[in-house]
Amino acid sequence: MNKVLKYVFLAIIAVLIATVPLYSGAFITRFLIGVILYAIMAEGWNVIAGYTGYPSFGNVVFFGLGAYVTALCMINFHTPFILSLIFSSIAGALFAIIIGIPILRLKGHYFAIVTLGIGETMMAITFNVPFTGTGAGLSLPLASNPNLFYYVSLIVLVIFIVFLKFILSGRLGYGMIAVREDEDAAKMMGIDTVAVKIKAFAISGFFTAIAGGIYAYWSTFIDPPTVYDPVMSIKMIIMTVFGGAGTLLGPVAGAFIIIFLSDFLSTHFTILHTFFFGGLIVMTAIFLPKGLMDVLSQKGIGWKYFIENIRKHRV
Amino acid sequence: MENDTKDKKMLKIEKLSAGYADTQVLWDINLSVENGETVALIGSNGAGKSTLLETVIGLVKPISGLIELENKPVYSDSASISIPTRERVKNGMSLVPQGRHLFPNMTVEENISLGAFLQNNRKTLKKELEKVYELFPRVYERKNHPAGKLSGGEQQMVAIARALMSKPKLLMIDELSLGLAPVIVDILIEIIYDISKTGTSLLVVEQDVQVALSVAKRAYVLETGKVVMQGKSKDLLDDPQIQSAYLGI
Repeated sequence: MNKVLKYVFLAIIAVLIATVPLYSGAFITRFLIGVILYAIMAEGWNVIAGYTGYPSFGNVVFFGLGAYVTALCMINFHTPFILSLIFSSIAGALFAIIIGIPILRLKGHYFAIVTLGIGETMMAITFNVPFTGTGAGLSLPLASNPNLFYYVSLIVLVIFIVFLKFILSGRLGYGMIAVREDEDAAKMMGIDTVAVKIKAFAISGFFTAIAGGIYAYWSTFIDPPTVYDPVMSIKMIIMTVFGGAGTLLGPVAGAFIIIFLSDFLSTHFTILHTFFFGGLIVMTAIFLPKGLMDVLSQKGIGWKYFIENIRKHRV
Repeated sequence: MENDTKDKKMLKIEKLSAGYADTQVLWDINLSVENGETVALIGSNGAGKSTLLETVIGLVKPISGLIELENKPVYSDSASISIPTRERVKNGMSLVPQGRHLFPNMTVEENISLGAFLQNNRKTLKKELEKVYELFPRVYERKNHPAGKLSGGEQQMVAIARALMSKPKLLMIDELSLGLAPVIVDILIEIIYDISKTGTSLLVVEQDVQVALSVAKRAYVLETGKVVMQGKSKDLLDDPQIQSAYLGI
């Protein structure tokens, strides 16, 4: 009986989430589209960093690339939106493979620094290549129905989570976690670590680029500083780490809570809210190094949990 | 008879040189392990024992020489053959690395299962797991614990169990007894015997010469990257040089 109730409850929530634009105003729908896009990006970061252990600081590069591919397809070739998104995703995955082959040999800090550089490089390239509209940016056609973006992004997020769940129960998922836990040992088990890392990076790029494509059509205007903004990479990281890196739903929870708090604070404390992210990073690192999902998975939680975290993870 | 045994070499290493970047560690190593044999590799710190095992499994790139598994080259500079680690594992090599290198946040069972990563078959996986648990009842009791939380001896057992999951013909163990209590070492020696009885060849790196020479019939002594002595364990134990250098007699 309990189980049935649980499923009924989950089904009601699913229906409520799926039909948000029908009963709520444009403001809430807009807010949720932002949440879902960030959830896709955070989940993308989670694949390469949370599960595979390669902390990319330049995942925004896939977002920007996806945004530009969709924009250029729709402006120049008038391809339908969904088809443009598919082109974006393929471009994102291909780009991840191409840059992944050299840079996934690097570890830890070195990998992080190079990825940071790649985001900046792509921004500079876009500024200087004529067909991308350079610094002036690109304007896209207006969508007839703004609710479209809610449904498309929600479907992409759901597909991503289901896909990731499927991956994690298979060989690639175990390979990724093994690489994160101990790459040398993974090699000794006969795991093709290079292939595992590149596949994980490609999945990350694939979905992050879709988020970029949706964003481009949604905002109707893109330029390099907006879609290659390094702060977005940082936000993906904060959301994932706050929610729980290496957990399936942590990044989604992280994206929701952090965007909600930051929107709320920025309307009420215009200047002070910028301190919020810094403070949150510090607090998360000290008290919740394993993220929110780890707290929720504990049975009974008390001061002991936090004290143990401080003791174990102090520098 | 002599020819017969020659044909059955599990591992043959000839004139192998290897190292990291600019530092050469191994110089013209010659070593062999017969089919079903247990061989020990002894030597002091920095002699190159771990490097040798890592070179055999393919984690360290050799400079020159030959490595053969069952008479098939896995590395040969003259024929420019060098097959990747995963192929070597597939062909029957397995390494228990120094420091064990378990996946700390995974459970014991997940750790052991990953040893069978290349055996893509869930049914045989279960059977193999049962076999390994039979060999390590203590590991079975701990199968749902995170591997990082076990004691050193238990971790070593998990590492060996994991290495056995790929059904190796040649099992290499780097530092069997390092940092473990004597009681645990005795259990591990028993387990090495059991593994050997199933026909698996073993190449065991060991700092404790007494332990090394009690598990293996034959041993090689490595010093600054060169094989300086080799022979039957019995003879080595009686050798005055070994006695003064390693046994303190």
